[in-house]
Amino acid sequence: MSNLKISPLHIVQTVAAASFLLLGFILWVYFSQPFSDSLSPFWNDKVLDVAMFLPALGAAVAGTLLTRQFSKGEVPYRIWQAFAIGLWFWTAGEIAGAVNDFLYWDTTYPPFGVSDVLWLCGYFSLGFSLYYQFRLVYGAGNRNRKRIYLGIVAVALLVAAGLTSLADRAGLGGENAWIILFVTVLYPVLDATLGNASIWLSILFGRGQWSRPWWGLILFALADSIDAFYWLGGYDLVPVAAQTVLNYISVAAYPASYMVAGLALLANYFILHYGRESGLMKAPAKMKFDK
Amino acid sequence: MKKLFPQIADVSLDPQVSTEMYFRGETATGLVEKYPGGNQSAALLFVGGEPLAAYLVEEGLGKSISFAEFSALSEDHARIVPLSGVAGRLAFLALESEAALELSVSGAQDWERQSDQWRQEGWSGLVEIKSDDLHGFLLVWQGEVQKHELAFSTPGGFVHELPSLSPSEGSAWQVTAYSHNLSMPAYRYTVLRQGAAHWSRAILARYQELVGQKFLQIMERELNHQIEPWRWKITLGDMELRDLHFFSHLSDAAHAYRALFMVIGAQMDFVVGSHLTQKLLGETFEQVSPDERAALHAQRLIPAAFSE
Repeated sequence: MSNLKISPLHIVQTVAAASFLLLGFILWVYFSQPFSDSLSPFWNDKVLDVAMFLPALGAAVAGTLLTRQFSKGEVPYRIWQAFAIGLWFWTAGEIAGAVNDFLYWDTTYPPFGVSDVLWLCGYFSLGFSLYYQFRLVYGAGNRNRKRIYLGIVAVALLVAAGLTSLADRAGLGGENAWIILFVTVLYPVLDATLGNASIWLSILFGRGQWSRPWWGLILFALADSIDAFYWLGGYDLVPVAAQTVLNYISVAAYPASYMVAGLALLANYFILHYGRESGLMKAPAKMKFDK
Repeated sequence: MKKLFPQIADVSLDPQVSTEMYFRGETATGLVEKYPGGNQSAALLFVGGEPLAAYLVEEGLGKSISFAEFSALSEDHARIVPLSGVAGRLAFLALESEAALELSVSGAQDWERQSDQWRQEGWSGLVEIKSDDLHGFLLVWQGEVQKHELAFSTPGGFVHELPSLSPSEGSAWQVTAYSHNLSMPAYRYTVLRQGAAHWSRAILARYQELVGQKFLQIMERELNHQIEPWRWKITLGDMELRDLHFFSHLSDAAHAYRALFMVIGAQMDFVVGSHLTQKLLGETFEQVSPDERAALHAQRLIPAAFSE
């Protein structure tokens, strides 16, 4: 660490501590609504929007920094480029969502807007990132991999279409068009798809440093699946105490997913950039063996 | 009478210093040659200052003799030749080998033709090259000349690359190809060394594919740093294990390779996790040729040993 005044390890630790505090702040603002009384519910919501935007932006920046550590011909470049692009789409989605909150505060949101386009682009970019990662792990020589990826996308779309029809018949969509309901249903289905693929990768990578950015996607899936559970009327089946717990988990998991992904990307970036000097690598194994 | 690396001037010793004292004092690798008479020669090989093996060489064929038998031979005209680790390893192989093919190579095209034949046959073995101003050995493995496994003596000293073959009169190479005898310690060591080199190359290539060039460089730096205290002449760079060390015992070589694979495994565990490390080690182990795999296996240099 002789050349670095502040070690990357300290930066990561500081960012982790700041993320933890921010998460506490988000939960406090969301559930206690402190600014609703002192200012107005509108400003309480704006504070939340900004607090949600910060980790999203941080994760996207960290993803970009990591991507730039690879040369363009390398396969990991494509993986992390797609991952970073996905995070930038979602960051833009957060901004679009905040703008929507601002514009449509006193009225209803449009059923389909820019933010939906950005979210969907983010899902597909992250899906590509997962696809490249799986292809790399299981071998690029197998032509079936592309078919499997397209098959998974097709199954996700079919499942979403099936669930949309069921929701439509149950009257969950109100007066919205089928396609609007389909997009609404598509989010949790894509979340589940990405989440399951990420869990698979995490199991495959074990506790390896390389798996940790994917943990963020698992948290996204967790947050959105609770939302989907609520939206499908699942809250009617559980006691109030459990509903409260689910609410906390959902509200915490969403920004935490950006934070986890961002911290993992940042740590990987520092390791790649500074190597052992980053202080983020394990201490060398003692080289003592019996002859 | 066989004379190894004849272009190299021998070391002249103070009469008070025995050859053994010289090698021990210098912790040097090299050989002592004696010429008992007739068509015979004898060689005692030292590795890192320790005597390794002694041979009586008659009509090009080396026969193992005891150190006492070697000492009993006349010291008159004894020749002391310090060797690099690679030259020592090749001399060790040469002394345990039997000539299988002799031919004269008089031009680059002849040499290319012979090399192509070895390549097509996937032949493995030691090749000796002699000419007026050149003597040395190279290792051909699975049909390919191994770029870190060659040593030639020239009037200018040792060179560790294949000299160019000039077409001038009288510069033809006398080439001897030696048969591959796996029961001999020198060949068992060679197979183990080649196995370790091939397996590590396969691991590092796949690892680079997975995590990129920078993580590979970090691993190479880390490995070179961690093995530095051992003073082995082994380095890792550009996905290649550059092993120039001469281990006197198979177990010592296995010990060193175990250390290398442990560092590789630990680094991979940290980056890609234990499950993928196991998978990667297992897949690449299968890419190593069966005889090299058997040599690694015999020393418990196996995938399961290097991942948590």
